[in-house]
Amino acid sequence: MMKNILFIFTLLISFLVSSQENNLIKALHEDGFENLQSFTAAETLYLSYENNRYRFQGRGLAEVLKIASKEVSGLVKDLVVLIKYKDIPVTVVKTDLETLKKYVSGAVSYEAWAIQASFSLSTDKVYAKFEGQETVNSSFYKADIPVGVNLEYALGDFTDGVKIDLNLTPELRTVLGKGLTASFEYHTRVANDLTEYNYSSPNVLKASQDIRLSENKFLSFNFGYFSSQRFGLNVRYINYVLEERLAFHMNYGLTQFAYLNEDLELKYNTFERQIYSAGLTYRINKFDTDISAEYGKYLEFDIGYKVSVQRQFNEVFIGFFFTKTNSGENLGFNFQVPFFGNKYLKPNRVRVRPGDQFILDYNYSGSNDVGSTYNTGENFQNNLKEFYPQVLKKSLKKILAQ
Amino acid sequence: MKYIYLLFFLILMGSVKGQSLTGTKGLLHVPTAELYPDKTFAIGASFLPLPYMSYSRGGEQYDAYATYVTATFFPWMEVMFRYTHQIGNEVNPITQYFPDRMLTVRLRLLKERKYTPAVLFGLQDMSGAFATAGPGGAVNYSATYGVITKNFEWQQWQVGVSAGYAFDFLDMPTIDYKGLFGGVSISHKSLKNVGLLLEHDSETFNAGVELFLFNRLQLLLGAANFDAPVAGISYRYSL
Repeated sequence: MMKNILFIFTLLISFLVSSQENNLIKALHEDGFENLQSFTAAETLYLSYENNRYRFQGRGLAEVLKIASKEVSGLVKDLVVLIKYKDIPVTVVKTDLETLKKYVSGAVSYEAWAIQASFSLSTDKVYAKFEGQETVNSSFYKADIPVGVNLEYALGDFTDGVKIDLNLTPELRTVLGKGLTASFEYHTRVANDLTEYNYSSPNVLKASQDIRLSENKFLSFNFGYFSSQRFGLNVRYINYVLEERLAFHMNYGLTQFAYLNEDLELKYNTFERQIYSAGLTYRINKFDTDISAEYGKYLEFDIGYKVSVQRQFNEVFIGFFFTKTNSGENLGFNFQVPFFGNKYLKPNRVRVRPGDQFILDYNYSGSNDVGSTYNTGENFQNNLKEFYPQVLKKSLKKILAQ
Repeated sequence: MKYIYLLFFLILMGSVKGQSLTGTKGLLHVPTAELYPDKTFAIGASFLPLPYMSYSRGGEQYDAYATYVTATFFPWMEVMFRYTHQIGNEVNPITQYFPDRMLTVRLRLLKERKYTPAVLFGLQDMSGAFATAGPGGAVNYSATYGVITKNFEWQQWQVGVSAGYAFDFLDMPTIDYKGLFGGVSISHKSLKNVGLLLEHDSETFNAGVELFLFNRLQLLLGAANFDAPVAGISYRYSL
């Protein structure tokens, strides 16, 4: 008799927990989150998701935690959230569910919640637990069309004080598999007195494969046509040693020159150019600031080093750089700001949205050609900064509480 | 009527002390040792009259206006980038004129405490320090200075007193300020968003008034040497 009661009770608990998982996945799906997985083990609910709905990953996480605190009841003690990007696991968040509920409702302070929560780039063990779990609302084979603006400029002469090259940059981007992306970005020229290529043209046409290796190492292959009329292969590697605090990075590119002119004739040469660089980045978490140094060979065959300081303000980046190579020096600052809208339409078969970021490098002195390189389009490794544990954790102070 | 109350309330929000005409935090023309809170950004413009601003002290013939972006990059560091445009002077091969660019970095060495003032070291128009301007290059506003600021309260009044000294540093001659400078800002607790400014910028005495609206917008009006109008407007935002 006792056995039967225990069996029925266990069955009931399993049913309730399973029902909670379904409700949670359903609510997240309805809100536009993708690559959803969940299961419960030993009073811990494991959830993985990808956010392509909210512009800032911190806001995406806040929405997920809000929904989870509402949909998951006291039958679950802990919540483990695995955040993915292109279906690749990036960051894991662990929190006590009861404290989360209290924080979301405003019953306890951010500090009281944050002290028990943990954020980490080390996802290997947690990711392994999701193996075999069903994925709901896959992010694959959906066409995203971000439309941004690109501005290049240089100080001119006494007849033309500032020369600019202003383009609208519609892009067709789709994720075909785990970390596998195809992308086509077109530059529609709005104004140009900077370059000789005074017509609209393709800027990037590439396939990229981003891979997460064990122990916080990432590898990215880019193959295709890049900016500055380069085509070929580019490989990036980054290894986070102390979570996001210290990173070792390398870059290698092998490209040739080619472009389609105004009459769609192919112009090219067969000279291969190799670029390579390696460096270290140290992040001061207190100020979300990266101090970077790298040494390498750049696009104009110049060899030298770059140092930079860049501060991250959630989605806004402002930095200063100094480059010195055997062809000269370059000193300036740069900034990245998001376009309008905190929230995009739900990812669908085809979705048009504002571009990722407006990026501008300002060369205070020196030549634009010093330490130059090409742009391979959307950069998985650069975008990881929004997923950094301390960036996410701090962003929840502003965004999550009622 | 409630909108009038709301407007009045919004106007009264905020605190006095904002961008100087130069673009960094300060009085009318002279800098102070205070910084905005971390992650604060300000954009603004100011009018610099011909006779008294350093650009024209070299014999130029035009009034100027400055446009700038200023950021509290760290809690102890302010960075400002500014373009100064001569009004009516055209960019062409005959005038050989080009708007002036300048980068300023200010480091607060000590925060103001109960009995001690804030202490700040400033590098204004740093081009000279990087030798980027070349011989005789455009370091029209350069100045290296140390400045201290202390605030006092007396009955319903708040008084901020600043004093500093500008000097040549590395390859940067001090142009915008020469030697001792200083000034005071005065505001009343019942009208915190209005401040009176009086200063000596090492060459002339200047006076002005500043007004804060909606905790975002600052208007600055004054007279350089009590005989030439100066004005500024800036908008600040915290990320």
